[in-house]
Amino acid sequence: MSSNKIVLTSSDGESFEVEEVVARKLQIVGHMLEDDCVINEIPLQNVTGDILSMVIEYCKTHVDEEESEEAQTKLKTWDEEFMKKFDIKTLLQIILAANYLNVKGLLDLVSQTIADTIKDYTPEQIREVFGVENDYTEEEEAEVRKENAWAFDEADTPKP
Amino acid sequence: MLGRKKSCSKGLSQRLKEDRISPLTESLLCQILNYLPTKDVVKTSILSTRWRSLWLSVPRLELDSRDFSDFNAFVSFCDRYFDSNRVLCINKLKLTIGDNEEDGFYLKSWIDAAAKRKLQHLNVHFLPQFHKIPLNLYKCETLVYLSLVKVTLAKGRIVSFPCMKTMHLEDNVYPNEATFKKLISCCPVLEDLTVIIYGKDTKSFPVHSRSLKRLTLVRISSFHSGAISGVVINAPLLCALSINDNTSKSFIVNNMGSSAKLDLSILFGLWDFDEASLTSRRSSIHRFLPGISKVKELMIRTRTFKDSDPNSKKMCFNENDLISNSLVPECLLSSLEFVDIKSSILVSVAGMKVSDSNKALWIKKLKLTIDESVDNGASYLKSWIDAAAKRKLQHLIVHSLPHFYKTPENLYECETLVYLQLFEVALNDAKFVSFPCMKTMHLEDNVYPNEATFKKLISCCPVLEDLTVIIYGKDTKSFPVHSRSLKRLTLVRVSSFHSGAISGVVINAPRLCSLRIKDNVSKSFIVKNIGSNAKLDLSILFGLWYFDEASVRSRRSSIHRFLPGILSVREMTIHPRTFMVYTYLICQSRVLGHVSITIHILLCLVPAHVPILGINTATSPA
Repeated sequence: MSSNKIVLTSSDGESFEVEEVVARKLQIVGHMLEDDCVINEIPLQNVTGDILSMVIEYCKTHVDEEESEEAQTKLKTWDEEFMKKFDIKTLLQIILAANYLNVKGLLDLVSQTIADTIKDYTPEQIREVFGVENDYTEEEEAEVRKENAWAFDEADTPKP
Repeated sequence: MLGRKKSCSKGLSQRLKEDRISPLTESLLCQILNYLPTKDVVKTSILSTRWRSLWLSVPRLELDSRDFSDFNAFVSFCDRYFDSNRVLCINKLKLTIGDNEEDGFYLKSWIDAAAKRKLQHLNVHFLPQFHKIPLNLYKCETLVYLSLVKVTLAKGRIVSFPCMKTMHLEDNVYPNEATFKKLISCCPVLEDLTVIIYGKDTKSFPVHSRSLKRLTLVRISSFHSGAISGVVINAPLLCALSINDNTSKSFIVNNMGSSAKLDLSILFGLWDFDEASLTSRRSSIHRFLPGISKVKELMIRTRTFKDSDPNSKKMCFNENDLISNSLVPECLLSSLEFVDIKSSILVSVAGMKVSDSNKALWIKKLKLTIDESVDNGASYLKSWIDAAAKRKLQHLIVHSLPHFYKTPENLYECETLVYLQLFEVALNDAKFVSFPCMKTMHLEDNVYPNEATFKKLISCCPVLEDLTVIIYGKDTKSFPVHSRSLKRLTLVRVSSFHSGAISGVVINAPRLCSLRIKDNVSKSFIVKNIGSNAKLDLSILFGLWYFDEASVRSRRSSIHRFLPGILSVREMTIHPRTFMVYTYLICQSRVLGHVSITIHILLCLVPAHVPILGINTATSPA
């Protein structure tokens, strides 16, 4: 295992010194290192320090993923606890970062967490989460409801 | 390590407001929606015009046709999904298809479309009738997981699933044996396979796979139409095999991993267990046993028939004949380290074999569960234990359920035993007991012929360290524990009815460091000797069922005699009801002014270790 250190700098100028193995969990970094192996400072334009520190925390925990069932269960429990720390807004920040930095495991984990969170939301609540503006006319909305009638059962009428 | 240089930045909340709305791309939204049930995904179409067709881009579709108003609505909905070219890869397609007139033709274009989009995970479940699945299923080369339930398969020409890891094939109709064989042989990396066959399909389903690790075979028929040919398994990497089968005549395991775990519930296709029927299976059993002789763990059950078949008793009786005819080859058990026998057939089979064989065997661990279906259980036990004693058995567990089978005398001759667990057995009068290596004994709900036998059982274990004695019900004998080596002792004596308190518990164990007593029947407890740093966990009622003044007072002398014995303990946990008896007594004694010693002891003991009214007390249902 290489003990080479790499400095990751966020869009707002925070710097994090991490082991190369951890940095490589960010595939965006992995690719950069493959292209030019002498880099040891990497600016990451699209992620802020607060979020980057979360991503790094995840990568450090997942740095050597063991096969054993016990280790897997332990990691899973850690993942669950880790996700509990964040509200939906932060989760959306993290999913953007995970996507940009290309951390597959974190991307899946956050997606699952967001899905679980919004599962029982009303359409209005989901609109708020994703910043969606309802641009349907009444006729159009009725049409959509008819088109996918099977999915809109009786319980679907917007809740107060 | 995390080196973090703080630098000034905009407030987090402000940034969130700025960033939150715009940047979630369609692919990221789909990434999230992928974790929602399809129905919830489709519901998002109501959010805005941009979301109207977003569900078409989610690489997963899980539908149940019964959720739709009619079958056509279901078909046209699926058509919309597959006709749209928005998804490049489909991860998962799960279709539960209820009653309809069509015979699966509509699936053709869907499977075609899914195959083109590199489908990985496919479930097709027809309810309740068997429908055909189109041939193009065999072209889904990217499948990793396939589950088919109540599907009629077509004769396959080209089958190739180079990535398939897991298959679940339940209650399907196969056109012929070749199709089934090909389905398996064309999965070069298959690791998990479940095959479930109900009813009267008489084909054989041989399993040959070089990669298979776990196999579950279920073949159950509720009516008897003659036993069918048999099961053949050839899977050199197999490490877990489970078979539940009441129809196959024979089982041949040609090849199998050497440290496999087996869980068998097989009847060799027998419905009647008379002598003639059993004899007719002799050669089957002969051919079966060599194949499983290398396994590490074996569990055999008779449960398939136990509940339903009144003949089960008869079956066992005749197994006895089966054995006495010496039908079983020697190989069985030759390399089993841990034997867990739950079935009469194996008890008898193996017992006979071990006792007959002159081959030097070494059995480390033996677990015998004898149930009511075993006739002659006692004689099996005897032969087993005889054989095991000769082979330096270290670890013996005997459960007899629910009869109290008598353990044979030779139990007392297993000198190499290190661990002994007896559950619901009736012990013999001890003539000679000697267990020079015994470290741990667990004696639960057994019947002892007399006190002397119990005492001897313990006194003849010079290195005994752990002892658990559990006595339920109305046994009124006393069970004194005297041991110079004992370190941990658990005594449980619980009765659900009150038949007058019984004499009492006497403990004399100078090295004891942990003592747990749960007792609602014994009148007195005398601890003559106990390690000075012992931990105590007491839930004792001094045989009281009523806690009125008169009753409690009647136990005063008992408590007097008990407390001095436990003076030297380090930690003590007292359960609420026990505590109640003490506190009541303290109050009483204050009034009476007699039992000062009790107060003194309790004041010394309790406040130091059980802070005010027993914060340290364990809670137990009062």
